[in-house]
Amino acid sequence: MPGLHFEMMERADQGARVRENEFDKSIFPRLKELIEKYQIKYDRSQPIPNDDAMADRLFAAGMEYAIEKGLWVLNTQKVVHFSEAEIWRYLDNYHTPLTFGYGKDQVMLQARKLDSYDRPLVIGGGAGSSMTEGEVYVKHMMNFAMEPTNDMVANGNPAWIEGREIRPYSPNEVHGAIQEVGWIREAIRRVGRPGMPLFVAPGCAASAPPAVAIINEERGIRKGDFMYAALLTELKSDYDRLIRATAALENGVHVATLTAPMIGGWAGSAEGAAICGAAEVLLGAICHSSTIVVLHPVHMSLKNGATTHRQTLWIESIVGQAFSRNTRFPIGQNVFLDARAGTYEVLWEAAANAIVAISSGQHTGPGPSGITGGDDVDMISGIELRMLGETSRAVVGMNRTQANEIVKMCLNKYEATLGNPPKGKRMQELYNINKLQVNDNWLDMFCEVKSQLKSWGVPYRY
Amino acid sequence: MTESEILKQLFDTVFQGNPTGTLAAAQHGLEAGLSPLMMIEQGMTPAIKEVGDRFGEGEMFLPEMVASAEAMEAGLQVLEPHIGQAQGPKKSRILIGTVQGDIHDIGKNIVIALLKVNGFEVVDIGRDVPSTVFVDKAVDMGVEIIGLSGLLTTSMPMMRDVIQMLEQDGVRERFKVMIGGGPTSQAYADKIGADGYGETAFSAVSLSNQLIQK
Repeated sequence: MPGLHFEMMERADQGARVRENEFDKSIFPRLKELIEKYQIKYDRSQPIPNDDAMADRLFAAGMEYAIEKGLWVLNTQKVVHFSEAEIWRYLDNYHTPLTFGYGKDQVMLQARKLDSYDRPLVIGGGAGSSMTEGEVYVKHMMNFAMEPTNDMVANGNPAWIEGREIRPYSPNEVHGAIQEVGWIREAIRRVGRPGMPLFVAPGCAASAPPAVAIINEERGIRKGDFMYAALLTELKSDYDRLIRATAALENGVHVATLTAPMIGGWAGSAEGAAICGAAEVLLGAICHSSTIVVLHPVHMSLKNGATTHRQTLWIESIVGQAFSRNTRFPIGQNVFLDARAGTYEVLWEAAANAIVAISSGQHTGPGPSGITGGDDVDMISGIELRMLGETSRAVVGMNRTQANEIVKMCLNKYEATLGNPPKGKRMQELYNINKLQVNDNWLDMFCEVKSQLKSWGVPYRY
Repeated sequence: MTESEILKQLFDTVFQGNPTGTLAAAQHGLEAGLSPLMMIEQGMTPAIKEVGDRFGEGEMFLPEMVASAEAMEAGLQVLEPHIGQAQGPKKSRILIGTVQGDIHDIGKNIVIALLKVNGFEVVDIGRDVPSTVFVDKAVDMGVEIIGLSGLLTTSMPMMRDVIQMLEQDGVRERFKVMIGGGPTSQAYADKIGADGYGETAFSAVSLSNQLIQK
């Protein structure tokens, strides 16, 4: 759908200069007024709230704030504004179903309604998670692509390229991004899903050139795949993001815009971050002519960007519900986990996040991820995705009240160690990596958690 | 106004993030003959400590902490010229920025606000900062600590670059270097020869305090 990325380009250089600290400091005072006006209230006993009226009020608050506040652009230090009519013109002309990928591996995106049996997308991969390059990277991607619940494969972050560091703005960044996507293509071919759509935020691409360089019908990102273009926290963008979006759109690649409202940051409380998040979904949808917006609320206290804090789950839920009830525009709920592979905690986190995404009328992923780096490499495996995907499929149709109770039980299992989780293990310690077979111990842990979830009411069929 | 009223006004205006009010209260205090050091220690510092504590508890947020830090700075600008150098609170200077290739700066901004409310003088050199700029600015400004922040995995080599550049320029011993951000760790700090790693914004403050003691 043609959105307003042309207008975004045009308006990014118009109007008066607004200094960044002025823009930042003006965010929270207005949000406080909107929290009061629209009576948005976080309740820690309701990570999945069951309050349609509040979901609708949140949508209205987000719309009011999006129109009023706009997006600040780093390069020009100007604020781009969009009208309510412009936003609705995009949302009302947005249509689903949309089909992605090729041949037998095609998948369909449909707008999901609350408490419905509409099939969600599961987007599985490890963006943000550091991985060994080359064959190990391919094995990671095969591991994700082999999960039958996985509809689209998302990338991980190669730790090195050809044994060299990936340096920002360097040629190795471009080479690395091209290699990365090539390895993903190799992985989906090897598991027999060559037409599987890709959902890529190249881990090698700190800047726009490598992201642009991977758009290639033969071996890169193709028509019908997804490219990320994130907004900056809060309510900001820059030419780099616009370049990625423009290059993707003009080559038939879908744009997924990431938004990351922060609790404790410029938006203040959970309620403020929820309103800000709703505004960012609206602005992110239109400014990049996005096919999907990925919501990734973060909490100031969690350094690796986990989305499984009780308050961030609440934001994913209430914003998801707001859009499910008021639009046909889809949201992917990013899944970043605090714990690492090989731990019980990581499985409880994955289950909780899946239940929140699906019962709130949205889609799961990309995930499961977690920001890692340095020597903390390969700390992710396909089993977390299995928990994410199988739980997502199982809870389709579950009502919010039941979902809320199960999520609270999951939280009881990991909340005490959130922010300081057990260390976890590398995929090479959890699998026979040549055969990509999970070892008994890790599989037993998965089955144990799944069995517990089933006893709580998650209706797994297998 | 009585002494206790002025101290309360200093506390309230810093706590509420009202720089104009703090400035006025500080001037009132001077006119009334109050000790500037006492106004800082008994009026403003307890307020800023309270703000820091509440931020840690999740009861106050970044914009409020930034406003309180600005109020504190406004008060200090009035009071510090009236304090003898030997008496005045010694403030360490920290240069901090997000390394080249990374424009994510909210973590850095939180650290800056916390450092300010804990009495440090902070020079914010922004985001996507080349390694040469870190080194040149640190030398020119004579800071004691350099803080390197980054969220992206690809930002990590740039942290090591800054440390290597300090060594090559023969100025490494002049500075303590601390790192922080999503992909970093104590192990990485040790590997690249940083003096410290702040896992959270709060630990960046305690780390800074430790580093200036060394």
